[in-house]
Amino acid sequence: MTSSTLAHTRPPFYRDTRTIAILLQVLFLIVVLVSGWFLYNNMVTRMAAGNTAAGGALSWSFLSQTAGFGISEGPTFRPEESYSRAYLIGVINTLRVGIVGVILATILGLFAGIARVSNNWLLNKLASIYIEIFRSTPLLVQLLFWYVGVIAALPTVQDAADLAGIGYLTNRGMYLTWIYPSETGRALTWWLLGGVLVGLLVSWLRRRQLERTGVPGSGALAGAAAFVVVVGVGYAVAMFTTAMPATTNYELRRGDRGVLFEDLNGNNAFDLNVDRGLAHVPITLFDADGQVIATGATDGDGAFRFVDLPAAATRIEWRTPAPLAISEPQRQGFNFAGGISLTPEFTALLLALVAYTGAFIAEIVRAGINAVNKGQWEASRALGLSTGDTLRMVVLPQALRVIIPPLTSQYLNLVKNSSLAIAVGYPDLFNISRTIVNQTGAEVQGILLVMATYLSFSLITSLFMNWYNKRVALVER
Amino acid sequence: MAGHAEDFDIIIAKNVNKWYGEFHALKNVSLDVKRREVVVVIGPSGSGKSTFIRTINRLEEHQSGEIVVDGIPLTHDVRNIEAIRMETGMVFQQFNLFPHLTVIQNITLAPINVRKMKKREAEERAMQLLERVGIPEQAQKYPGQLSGGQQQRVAIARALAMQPKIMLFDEPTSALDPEMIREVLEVMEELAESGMTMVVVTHEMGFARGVADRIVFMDAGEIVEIGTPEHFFTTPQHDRTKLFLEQILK
Repeated sequence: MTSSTLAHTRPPFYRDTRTIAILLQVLFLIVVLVSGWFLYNNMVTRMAAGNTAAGGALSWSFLSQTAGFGISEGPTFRPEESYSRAYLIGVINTLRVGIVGVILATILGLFAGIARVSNNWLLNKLASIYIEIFRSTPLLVQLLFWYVGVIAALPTVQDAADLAGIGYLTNRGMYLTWIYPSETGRALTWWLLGGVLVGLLVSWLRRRQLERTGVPGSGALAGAAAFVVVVGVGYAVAMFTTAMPATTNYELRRGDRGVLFEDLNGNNAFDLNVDRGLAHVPITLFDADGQVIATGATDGDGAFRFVDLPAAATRIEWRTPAPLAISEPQRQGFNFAGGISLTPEFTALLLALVAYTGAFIAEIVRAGINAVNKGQWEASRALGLSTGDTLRMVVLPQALRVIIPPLTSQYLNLVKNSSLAIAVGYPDLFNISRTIVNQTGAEVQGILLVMATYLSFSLITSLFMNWYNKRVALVER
Repeated sequence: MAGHAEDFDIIIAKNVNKWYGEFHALKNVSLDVKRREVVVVIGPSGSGKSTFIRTINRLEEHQSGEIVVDGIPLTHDVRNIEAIRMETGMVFQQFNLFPHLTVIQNITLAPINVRKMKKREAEERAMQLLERVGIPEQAQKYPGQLSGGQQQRVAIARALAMQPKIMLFDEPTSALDPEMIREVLEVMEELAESGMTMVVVTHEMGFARGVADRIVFMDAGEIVEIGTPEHFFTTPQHDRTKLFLEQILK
C-alpha cells in the first residue's frame, strides 16, 4: 500500500519537522545564554574597574546607610533615615499615584468610550476629539503641559480659589478638608481592617447559606452590615476607652510653634526618635496674661505652628479629641496648613496619566461595546429596557470579556509611565532611586531594584485581572 | 384610547414606507391585526417581512405612514415607544438570550427593572412560564448550556414574562436544527390557543396552515395578498403567490 511506504520514508533530518523544532529551540537557547553571559561578564568587569562607592560587585549594603536627603511628599521621612526607607517612600508614592490613577482613568475611559458609541452627535464628537488629542501626543509633553500650562497658571495662595467651602485651589496645590484618625482614634485603622475581614467572611458565609437554601442573591448586604457594625463598635470603644497619655507634654518654641507629644522617656523634652507626637489634638494657646491668643490643632506628627499671633504664647492647653478629627485647611502666611494637600507635582502627574490612559481605555471600551452582538441591544430594547439599563445590565457585562485583557495592559502602562514623575520632580520610586544612585554610585543595583519593583507591580496587577477575567467569562457547555 | 372590544384592531399599520438609503424596503404596507388574531407573514427572503414586524416595536424606524399599537401611536415620543415595547414581546431568529445571565435571570431582568416587580414574585412567575414552555429544570443554567430549541423556548418565556398583549415572532425556527423545530412550534401553538395576538414571520407552512387566522404574503417590500389559510393554499390569486407556494411546497 502506498500509505505504508510513505510512512516509512524518513526525510533528511534538516527537513524533518520534529528535529527542526528541537534544533531551533536549542539554537535559540544558545544565543540567549551567550548574550546573557557576555552582558553579565561585561558588567562585572566594568564594576570591578569602576570602584564605585557601593563597594564593587553587587553589594546591597548601601541600603542601610543614612539617606541624608529629604523627600518633599508622601509619608513623613527624615534625612537621617536609611536609603531603604527612602526607597519605600518612593514605592508608596508610586502606588499612590498609580492606584488613584487607575481608578480615575477607568472611570474617564468608560464614560468617553460610551460617549464614543453614543448617537448624540455632540457627545460623540467631543469624545473623539479628546481621544485623538490625548492618544496622539507624547505623555511627557502632556505632563509638562499640565504642570506648567495649567497648574502654574492657577491663582496664588493669597487669592486662592475657594472650592465651595471644601477647600482651596492654588498654584501651589489643592488643599481639601479631610478626616483623620486623631490620637484617640489610632486603633481605628485596625478596627477598619478587622471590619473588612469580618465583612468578607460574613458575606461569604451568607452567600453559602443562600446557595444552600436555593434563594438567589449575594451576601454583599450582610457583609456590608457586618463591616458597619465592627467599625461602629471600634469607634465607640475608641471614644469611651482611650484617653490622652498620662505623660502628655509639649514643647513651645519662639512663642508660636512647637510639638505636643507623649514623653516616653520622661525628660520633659521632645526627642525625635523616642517620644511620640500626638496627632490631631485640639489645642489653645495662652499668652503671659492668661488670654487666649489662638486655637487650632496639631498636625499628623503632633507639631503645630501659628503665623501672625498678636502676642507670644507662653502656655498651651489641649483637649481629648474625638477618634476622628475634621481638619480644615487654613491660610498661614504663604501657605495653607491642615486638611489634605495635593501638590502640583502629584496633581500634574495624576492628571497627565489619567487623561492619557483614559483616552486609550476609551478606545478599548468602544471596541468592547461594538463587539457585543447587535441582537443583544435589540432583545433588550424589545423587552422595554432603556438605553442606560441595556448598557449597564446587558451590554457592558458582556463587553468586559473583550475589554479586560487590553485594559490590564493599560493599567500596567499607567503604573510604568508614572516613572515620568522625574520630569516634574514628584518623588516616585524611580525618581528616588536616581537620587540614591547619584549619591551611592550603586547604578546596577538601583536599576535592578527599580525593575524588580515594577515587575512585581505588573505581575500582581496581571494576576488580579486574570482572576477577574475568569470570573466574568461566559459559561458555555 | 379605544375600547377593548373583541374585534378591536390592536395593530394598525397604514401605508408604512421604509428606505435603506436608495433601497425601498417597505412599500405602502397596510395591515390591521385584531385582538386574539394569529397572522402569519410569509414571502421570499428579502421581501421585507422581518423589516415590517420590526417596525411595529420600533427596532426599525419607518419613514412614512402610520402605526398604532393598542391605541398608542408609534411616534418619536420615547414614552410611546417604551409603552409599545412593554405591550409587545418579541422572539428573534437568533434567540438573543443574554449569555452572561442564567435562564431565570434572563426571564426576570425586564419584569424587575421595567415593570418594577418584586424579585421573588418575578421569579415565581418565571418558573410558571418555564413550566409552560416545558423546561423548568433548566432555570439555573446559562444559555450556552442549552440546545437551540431550549434557548428559543426560554426566549419565548422571557418575552411572555412582560405580560405582553402582542407577540411578534421573527423567523423563530429558522436557526434551529430540524429535530428542535417541533418543540418550539408546539409552544407557539399552545400560545395561539390561549388567545394571544401573534404576528409570525416564518417559513413553516404547516404552522401557517394549522394555526394562522390569516396569512399575509409579501414580496419585494409590499403585501401581495392577504387571506385565510384555506384561500391561500387552495386558490391563491396572484401569480407571485402561486410561484412562491409552488417552490416552497414542492
